Amino acid sequence: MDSFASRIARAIRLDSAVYEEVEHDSNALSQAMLVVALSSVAAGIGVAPYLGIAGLFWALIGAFTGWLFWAAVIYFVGTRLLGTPNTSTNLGELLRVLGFASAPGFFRVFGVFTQIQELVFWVTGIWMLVAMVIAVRQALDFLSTVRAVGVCVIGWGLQILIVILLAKIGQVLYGASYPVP
Amino acid sequence: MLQWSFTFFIFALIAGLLGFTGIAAGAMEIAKILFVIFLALFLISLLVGILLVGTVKRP
Repeated sequence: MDSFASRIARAIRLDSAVYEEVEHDSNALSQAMLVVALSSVAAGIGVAPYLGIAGLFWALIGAFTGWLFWAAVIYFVGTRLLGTPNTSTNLGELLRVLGFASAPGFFRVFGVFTQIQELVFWVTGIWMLVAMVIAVRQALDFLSTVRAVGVCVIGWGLQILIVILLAKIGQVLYGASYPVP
Repeated sequence: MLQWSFTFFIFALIAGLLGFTGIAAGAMEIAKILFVIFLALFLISLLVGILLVGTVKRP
């Protein structure tokens, strides 16, 4: 567990070496999964004063589906659209590094103090974004951080498009009351 | 130290689950107090582990 705790601490510190390390450690998928789960439980507790147990449930569901979906999007954009000759990755590597990139989300648990909730979620959100860019840069073997930012920006755009498309399909299937973002 | 930090974080999450989600209605107040204590211990041990010691052990 010491190695796991150390990895989490280094991921929180945005140490790029730890992302490189988990990229090459094929046994780290369960650790990455645990980081995602703990981060989402922390977020669920952070919103518990408003949403109760439902917030925790949706945080868990959202975190795991988001993690899988995001890894697939980054894989597509990073290898097909913005890949370099050095780029060599697979879905497993991306799942591992992106899982550890959610470690700063542990601090979302402080959102339970409603006076600072907004600040906590803003700060941890930005922290997680920076961690994600570093994780993407390491996983896709980019030399440029700007390219990693580009992959994330295109990925977010694609993700938003797909969510809107799915919501439109839901609206067609389940009627006009279906929420479209 | 980081191992302790991780342990305190897990304890804080468990106490938070019991204290803020309504799972343990009878013990909510105690769980909330424990949550704050474990959260403080988590922060202190993490800060000591990362900032003061400055050497995060690499496996």
